[in-house]
Amino acid sequence: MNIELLSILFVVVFIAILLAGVPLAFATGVVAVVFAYALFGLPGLTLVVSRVFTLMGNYVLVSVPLFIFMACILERAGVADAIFNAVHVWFGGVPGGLAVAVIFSCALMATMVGVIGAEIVTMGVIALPAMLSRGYDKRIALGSICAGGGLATLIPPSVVFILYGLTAGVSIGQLYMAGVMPGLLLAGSYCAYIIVRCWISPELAPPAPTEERNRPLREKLAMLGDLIIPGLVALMVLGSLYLGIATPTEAAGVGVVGALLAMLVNGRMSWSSLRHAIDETTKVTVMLYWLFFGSSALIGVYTLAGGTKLIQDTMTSLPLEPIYIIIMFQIIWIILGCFIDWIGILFLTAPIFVPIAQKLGFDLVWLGTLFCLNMQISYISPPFGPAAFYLKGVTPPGITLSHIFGSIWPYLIIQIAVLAMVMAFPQIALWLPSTMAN
Amino acid sequence: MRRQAAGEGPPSALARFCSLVDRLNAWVGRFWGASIIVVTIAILYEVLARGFFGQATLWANETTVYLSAVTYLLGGGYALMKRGHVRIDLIYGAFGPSTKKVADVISFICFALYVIALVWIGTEMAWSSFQQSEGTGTPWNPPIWPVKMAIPIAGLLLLLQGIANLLRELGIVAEDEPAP
Repeated sequence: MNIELLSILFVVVFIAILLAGVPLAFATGVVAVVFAYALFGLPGLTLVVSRVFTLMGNYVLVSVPLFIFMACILERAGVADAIFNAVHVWFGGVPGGLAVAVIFSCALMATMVGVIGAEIVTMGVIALPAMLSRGYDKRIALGSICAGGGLATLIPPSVVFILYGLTAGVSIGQLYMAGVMPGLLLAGSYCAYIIVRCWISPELAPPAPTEERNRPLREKLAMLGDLIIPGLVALMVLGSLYLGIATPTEAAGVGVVGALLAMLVNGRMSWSSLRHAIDETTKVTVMLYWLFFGSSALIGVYTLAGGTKLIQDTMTSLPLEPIYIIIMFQIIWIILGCFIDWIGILFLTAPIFVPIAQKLGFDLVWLGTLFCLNMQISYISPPFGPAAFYLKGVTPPGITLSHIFGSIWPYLIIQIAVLAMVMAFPQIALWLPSTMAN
Repeated sequence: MRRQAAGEGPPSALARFCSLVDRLNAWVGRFWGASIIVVTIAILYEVLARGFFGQATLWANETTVYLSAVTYLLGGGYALMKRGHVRIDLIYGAFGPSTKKVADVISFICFALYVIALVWIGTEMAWSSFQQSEGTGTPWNPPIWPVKMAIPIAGLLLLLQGIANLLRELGIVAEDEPAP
C-alpha cells in the first residue's frame, strides 16, 4: 500500500474511533497498535511499548505533576483570594477597576500556576460576585475572568511549554522566558481595553463606593503583606530558571515546598486539603501521561511508515513563502482547537510541524510561543473553550454558557492582534531568552 | 431506572466484581499518588545536597523519574474510573440509548486491543529484562525490570476498569453512587 493511501486510512480510522467515544489517550494507542501490527508485525508492537518505556525515563516530564501539584496546593492555600483582595483596593479609582484587578491577579497567579482552571474557578467564586453585586456589565465581568485565566499557560511556569519543549527538543527555560513578554503584552492589552471601554461607557462598571476607595494607605499596604510568600515562591521558581541554576524539575519541586509553606502560613494546612490536592494532581497527570504515551506511539508508527516524511516533503515543496506555512499550521491548530484540547493538538501536530519549521529556518522557541498564543484563543472560543466551562461550573444560576461565550469577543480580537504582533516581530518573544546565561 | 433494570436484592457476582475493581483502582491511584510527596522530598534533598555540599546524589534523579512514571502509569485505571480521560462526546452525546450501547461495545473493543498489547508485549519486555538482570546503565544502576513490569500491570488495571465501566454502561450492573 502506498503511503498516501495509508495516511488517509490512518486519519479516517482515528477519527472514527474518536467519534465512537474512545478517550483520546486510547484512540491514539489503538490506532498505533493496529497499524504497527498490520505494517510491521510483532516488532511493530514492540515499538509501541518501547515508546511508552522511553517516555517513562524522561526527567523533565517529572516537572509536570510537580507544577500541577503546586497549582492545586496554591488553590487550596487561598493564595488567589489573597492576591485579588490585595490588588483590587488599588484599582478603586480606575474605570472598570474590579475587572482590571481580575486581569492583574490572574497575571500574578500565572507566575505560580502553569495550568488553566484554578484561577478561573477562584476568580469566578470571589471576583465575579463582587463585580455583579456592584452592577458590572456581565460581559465585562465574565470576559475578563476567561481571558485572564488563560494567561497561566503563557506566563511561566507553564505546563504547555514543558510539553512543547519535550516534543520539540527545545530548552524549557528559553520557552518560559519567551512567554513573558507576550504574556505581559496580552495582560496589558486586556487592561487597556477594559479601562477604555469603561471610561467611554461608565454605566458598564459602576465605580467603587467612596469608603472603599478612601481606604487608608496603611491598610492597603498591610494587605500587600499577604503577597510576600507567594511572591517569593514565584521569584524563586522563575529566578532559578532564568539564571539557569535549576532544572525545571528542581524548580517545580522547590515551588511545591514554597506552596506548602504558603498553605501553612495561611492556616489552611490540613490532611484533607493535602489529600485532595494529591488526588487532583494524580487524575490530571495520569490523563496527560497516557495521552503522551498514546500519541507518541502513534506518531512513532506513522513516522516509521514514512508518513511524517511525506507530510514534511509535501509542505516544504509547496510554492509558498515559508511564513504562509506557519500561518497554515496555526489555522490547523485553531480548527483542531474546536474539537480536541491543547494537549492532544500539541502531541499530534508538534512532532510533524516542528521539523518542518526547523527545515524552513524558523526559531522553534518562537514557534512554541505561537502555539501557546493559539491555545489562548482555543481556551475561550466556542464551542468547547475550557475556560468558559470552568467558569460555568461556579457561576450563579442566571448566567449561561452563551452569556460567557458572548463575552469573549473583544478579548479574542486582542489575542489575535497580539498573535499577529509576535508573528511580525519575533523579538517580542525572543528578546528575553536571548539575555539568558547559557 | 438503571437500578431497577438491574434488579434489587443482593449484589450479583458481576456487581461485586465491578465494585472490587473500583476499590482496587481507587486504592492504587491514592496509594501511588502519594508518591509525589516522596518525589518532592527527593528533589529538595538533591537541591540541598548539590547547593551546600557540592555533591549531587546518585539516586535522586532516577528515583524521582521512575517513581513518577510508575505512579502515573498505574493510575490509568483510576482516571478511567473517574472518567478523567479526555474524550470527544460531540457525536456520542447525540446518540440514542441503543446506539450508545453499540458505540460503547465498539469503544471497548478498540480500547481492549491497545491495553492487551501493553499487557502482552510489556510482560515479555519485563521478563526478558528480569532474566538479563538489566540495569539502567547509570553509576547507581538499579534493576529496571520493576519499571518495565509497571506497563503490563497498568494495562491490566485499565482492562479491568474498562470491563467494569462497560458492564455499567450496558446496564448489566447498576450504576453505583456517582463518584465524587
